[in-house]
Amino acid sequence: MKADAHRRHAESLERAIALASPDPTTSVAIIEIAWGAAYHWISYGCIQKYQQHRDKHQGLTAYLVGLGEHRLAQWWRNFEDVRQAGFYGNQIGESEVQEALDLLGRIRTWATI
Amino acid sequence: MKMIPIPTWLDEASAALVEETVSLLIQRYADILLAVILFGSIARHEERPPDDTCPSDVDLLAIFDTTDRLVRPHREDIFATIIDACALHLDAPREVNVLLSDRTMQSWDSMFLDNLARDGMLLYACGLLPAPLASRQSFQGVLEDKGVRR
Repeated sequence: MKADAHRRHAESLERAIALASPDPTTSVAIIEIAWGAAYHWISYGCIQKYQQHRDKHQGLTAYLVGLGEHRLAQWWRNFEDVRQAGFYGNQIGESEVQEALDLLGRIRTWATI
Repeated sequence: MKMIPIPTWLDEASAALVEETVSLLIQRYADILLAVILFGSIARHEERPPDDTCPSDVDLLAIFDTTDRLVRPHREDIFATIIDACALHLDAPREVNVLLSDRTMQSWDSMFLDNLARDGMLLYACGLLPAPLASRQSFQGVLEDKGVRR
């Protein structure tokens, strides 16, 4: 997928978050969608900054560290924790949604400046 | 404080990454780190091999002495520590996922806790385990075997 397509995907997913946000029962969906949007922003940013990206999320942390993007890798790892905790522990509440949205905002900013 | 050996069936580079991750967490969070548990397919020895197109990740649960579910205000620094370990072992074919937990473990699904107790491998413990795990017999046995006093 090319950079513009990744950006369009990310923006489309973010519109879905905006539609879902008023409903508190959508917190699991918001985190899943935010995680997907973050992945597309990372792909977009990597193509813009490095003319390369990883086309799957497996191994993405090490890939980003290899590029020297330690802070971005840290945010991605944090995102994975928020998402995976939901699989194992039902730990999805307002705090987790806010954490996910904060991380998405940081990642979008990284990708677009 | 004890660090228990990494499973022998884990490839050398991934084992080194796990050891680095746990060691750095112990070094930097000795005052609040209660336990690190290996769980999931690697713990069950049902993992996909490292040369698979999608090798199994290494799943760790790190339990901290706090009641905050997101382990704030340490959360960001803990993930920075995990990245520091990753940077030293970029050759590892497996990713190490570290889930963070508070000591109450109240919001974890009981099935997850049962699976942890059945399949999980305690890599590190400092004193008493949180009540939801201490009451599960298998972890108690491991601690006693390794000389960690309850």
